[in-house]
Amino acid sequence: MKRRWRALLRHRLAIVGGGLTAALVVAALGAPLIARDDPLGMHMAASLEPPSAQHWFGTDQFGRDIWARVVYGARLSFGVGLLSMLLATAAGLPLGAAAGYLGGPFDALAMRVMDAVLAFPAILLAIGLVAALGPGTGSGIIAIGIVYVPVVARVSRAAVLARCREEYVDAARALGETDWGVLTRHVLPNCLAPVLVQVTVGFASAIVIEAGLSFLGAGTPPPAPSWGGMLNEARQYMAASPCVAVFPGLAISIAVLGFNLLGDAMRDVLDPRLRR
Amino acid sequence: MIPYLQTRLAALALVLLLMSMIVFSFVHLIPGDPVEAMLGVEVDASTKQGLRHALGFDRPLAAQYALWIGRALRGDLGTSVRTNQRVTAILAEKLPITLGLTLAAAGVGLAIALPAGVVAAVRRDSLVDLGAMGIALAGVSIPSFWLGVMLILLFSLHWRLLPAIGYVPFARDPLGALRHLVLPAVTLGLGLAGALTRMVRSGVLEELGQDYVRTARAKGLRAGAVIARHVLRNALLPTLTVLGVQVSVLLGGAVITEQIFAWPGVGQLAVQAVLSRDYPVLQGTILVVAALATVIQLLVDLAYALMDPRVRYT
Repeated sequence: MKRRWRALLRHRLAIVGGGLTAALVVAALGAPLIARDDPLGMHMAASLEPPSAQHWFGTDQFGRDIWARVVYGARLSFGVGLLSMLLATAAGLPLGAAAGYLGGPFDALAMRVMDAVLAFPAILLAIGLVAALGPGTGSGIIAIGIVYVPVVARVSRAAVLARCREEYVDAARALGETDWGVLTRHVLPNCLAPVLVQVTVGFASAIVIEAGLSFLGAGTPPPAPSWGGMLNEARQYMAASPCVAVFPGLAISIAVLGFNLLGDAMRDVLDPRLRR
Repeated sequence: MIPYLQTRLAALALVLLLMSMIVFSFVHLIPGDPVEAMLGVEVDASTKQGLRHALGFDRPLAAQYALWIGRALRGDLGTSVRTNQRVTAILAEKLPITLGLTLAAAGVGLAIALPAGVVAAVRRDSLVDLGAMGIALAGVSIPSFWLGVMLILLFSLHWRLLPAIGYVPFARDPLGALRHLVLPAVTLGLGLAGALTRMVRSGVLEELGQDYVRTARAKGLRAGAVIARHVLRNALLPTLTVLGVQVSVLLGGAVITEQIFAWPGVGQLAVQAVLSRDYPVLQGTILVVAALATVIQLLVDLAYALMDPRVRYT
C-alpha cells in the first residue's frame, strides 16, 4: 500500500488532479473562513459589480458576493458528490460482489437490471427520479446515487469474478472458509482498487449532474449557492456582467477536471490493467 | 450473424422491458397521491377521480403496469395532463428536432476527433499530442451548460456573429436553420470530441505498431497513405463502439443544450414536464428517448459485428 501511495505521489496527473481536488475539499470544509462574506447576504446597491479588492469575483444581480457563493457552492458540490457516491457504493458494491461470486440466475437478473438502468441517459434518469421524489438537494443525492449504482456494481462484479479465479481463494475454501468468509475476508479487500478508481471518477459525474439538475431548476433551489443554479440565474445578467456566468462554470470545470485527473492517475497506479 | 443477432435482440427486449418497469415506477415513487401531485390539492374530487381512473391508478399495481405497457406497445403513451394533447403526437413533433441536433453534434465531434486523434498519435509525445490531449481533457471536463453559456456570451452577445437562442425549421429557411444550429451543435459536440479524440489516438497508436503497417511502409507507401488506407480502417472500429455508447450521452446532453438555446425538442419537453408535474409526458419522453438510445447502440454494435467478423463469434 505504501508503495502504491508513493507511486501516486510521484504521478504527474495525480499531483495536478490531487491539487485541484484538495482545493475543492479545502473550500468545502473551510468555507466560513475562506468566503469573506455571507453567500446569501444581498446588497442591492452593489449589484453586478466587476471584480474588485472587496469582491474578488464581483457581485451578482442581488449584490451577493460571487466568491463567497462559489466557495459555499464547493461545499454543496462536494457534499452531493460524497453522499451520492457513498449511496452508490453501499448499494452497488454488495450487489455486484454477490452477482460475481454467486453467478447463475441471480447474476443474470441483477446484471440485466443494471443494464436497463445504465441504458438511460444519466441526466434524464436523474430528472425522472427528481420529478418523482420532488426537487431538492436530497432528491438529487438519491437520484445521482441510483444512477451510479450500476456503474459501481459492474466494476465490483468484474473485480470479484477476476479474484475468484485466484489460487488464494481456492486455498481459503480448502481450509473450510464459508462463502461469506471467502467473499468478505479474501475477495472483497482485493477488489477495492478498481471500485475506488470508479468512485473517484464518479465524483466528477455527480458534480456535473447536480449542477445540471440545478441549472434546469430541478436540483438545489435558490437562494442556496449551487454552481448550476448560479449559472442558470446568470444567463439573464451575463450581458451586463460576464463574471456572474464565468466563475461558477469555471469552478465546476476545475472540480470535474481535478477528479478526472485523479481518477486517471489512480487507475494507472492501482489498476494498470484498466489503462488504455 | 443470425445467432448473434438473435442473442442481441433477446437481450434488447429484456432491457427494454426492465426500462419500462423503471419508467412506470416513477409515478409510484411520488410521496402521497400522484394525482394530487399532478393536479394540485384545490381540484375537486370528481376531477381527481376521473384522472385516477383514466391513468388506471384505481387498479392493482400489476394491472396498472399491464395496462400502461399494453397501451405503450400500441403507440399510446397517454395524454398530457396540462395540454390534453396525446404524448405520442407531442413526441412525433419534438423528436426530429432533437435527433437533428444530436446528429449535427455527432458530426462536430467526429470532425474534430478524427484529425486531432490521428495527429496526436502520429506525433506522439510532441507538443501537438500534448495540446490535443489537453483539449480532449477540457472537452470531457467542461460541462455543456457552461460551454453553451460561454459560446452565447462570446459569439452572440459580444461579437454578434450567431443567434443566441431559437430554432428555425430547415424547410422554412435553410441558412437561418444552420445559423441557429451552429452553437447548440458545437456545445453538444465538443464533449463528444473530447471522448472520441482519446479513443482515436489510442486506436491509431495500437495499429501503428502492427506488422502490416511496417510491411506497407517497407513497400514504399507514403506515410499519409498508410494511415488513410490501412491504419484508420482498423483504428476506427473501437471508436465506432464508443460512438454507440456516446449516443446515450448525446441524447442526455441534448436535454440541457435545448434548455440553453431554447430548442423546442424532447429535452425541453422533459424539463417542462418536470416543472409542471406532467407525469404522462415525462414518462413517455424518458421511455422513448432511452429506448431510442438503446436501439441506436444496438445498431452500432451490429454494424461493428458486420465489419469485424471476430465479434460475431465471441
